[in-house]
Amino acid sequence: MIKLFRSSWWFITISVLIALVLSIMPLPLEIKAWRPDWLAMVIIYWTIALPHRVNIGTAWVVGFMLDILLGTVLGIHAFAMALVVFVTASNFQKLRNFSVWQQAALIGVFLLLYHMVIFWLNRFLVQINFSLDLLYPAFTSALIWIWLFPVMRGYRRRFKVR
Amino acid sequence: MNPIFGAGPSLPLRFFFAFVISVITITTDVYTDSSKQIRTYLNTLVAPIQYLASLPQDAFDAMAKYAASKQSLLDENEALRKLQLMQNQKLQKYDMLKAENDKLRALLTTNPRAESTKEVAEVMAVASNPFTQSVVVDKGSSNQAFEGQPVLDDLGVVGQVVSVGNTTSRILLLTDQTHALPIRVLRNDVRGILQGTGNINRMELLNLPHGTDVKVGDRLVTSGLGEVFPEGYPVADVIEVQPDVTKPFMRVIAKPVAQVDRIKHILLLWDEGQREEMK
Repeated sequence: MIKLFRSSWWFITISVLIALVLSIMPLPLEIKAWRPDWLAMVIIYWTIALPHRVNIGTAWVVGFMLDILLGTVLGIHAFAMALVVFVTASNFQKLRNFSVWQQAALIGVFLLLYHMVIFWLNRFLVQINFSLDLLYPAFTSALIWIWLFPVMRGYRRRFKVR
Repeated sequence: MNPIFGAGPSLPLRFFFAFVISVITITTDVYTDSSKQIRTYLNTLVAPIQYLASLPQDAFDAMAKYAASKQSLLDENEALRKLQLMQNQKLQKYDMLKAENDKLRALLTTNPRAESTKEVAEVMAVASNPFTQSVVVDKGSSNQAFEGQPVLDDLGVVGQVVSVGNTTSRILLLTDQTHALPIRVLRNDVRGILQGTGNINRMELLNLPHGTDVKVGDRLVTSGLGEVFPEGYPVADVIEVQPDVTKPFMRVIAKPVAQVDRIKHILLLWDEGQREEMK
């Protein structure tokens, strides 16, 4: 039992670490604004699949790490991530039964919320102006989700993460 | 084992906790100084992820170096030799001028200018959040980097260190909109504050009264008044002056001298003896 608990966490941590690396990996200037929210998607996936493992607490901690990595005010990404996972975890049973396409559309909406929250908090703390490209990642993420969901499911089944 | 109704606090309660903790961390980070120390630990903690993320780029750079043709290397070598010759010639003059300046300052009974210690750091290939202009470099507190440390490149001022980890530190670029530094115009010593706008090519002089003698093409250098940047390093060139008298102040736009958007190597600066004290 203890062993199982440990190995599950191990695989979840690896996937989160990969997502963290992907979120700070340098990208060419032309596609920089379209960077998908790898971390948010991975966390959302685990929340849908294993809500008793990954939940608001994990989301907050992981979002906090993203804050450190991106150099934002500590707590901004953490809060946005916790909010999105709160919405996801409240509806995880519905989300599980949707097709990938429906899920993708909803993930897009969740991530719009995620980026708006980050923008609002930043706006409140530093003077910044809204530009539409802040929301591009939500669209790319929705598209990527169609590919990412089966990949993550395969990963979970292959390593029997429970 | 796999309970549908998980144990522990309910979702709204968990979210409420997350909300409260977020408010606490955000206010601590923004309104107090206590987060500096914490940030050092946290930056050290995540440094491996940053090194991992910059790995592909580093490998690519190494490969590009390996694949460079002999002829291009020879050409580059030739060009660098010429450059060194020119710079050495300038340096000879500089030594003479410095000695003379020290003598003159002694006559005026002011202290001679202190020499500063420098170390080269490399900008790591990691992305930062789109709202601020900052870069991560591969030197940290183990190299005696400290918060508020001035950062230059070969052309001029780049910015200052805002948070330090053990092996990495984050540099706020001078074009960030939260960054401002005291400057003077090299031509006539008019003083001012130069603030970033968030745009990589534009900075603005703040609160300059109408009729101040600033012209397009003027070189702005650090004035040393803020006690962060040492005196006399080039910062920006004035590219636009709008003497619109309907506005309370003159609008002066300047372009940074350093190539802020394509920096790869930067210099960290210490005052004379400061680095040895920190060791």
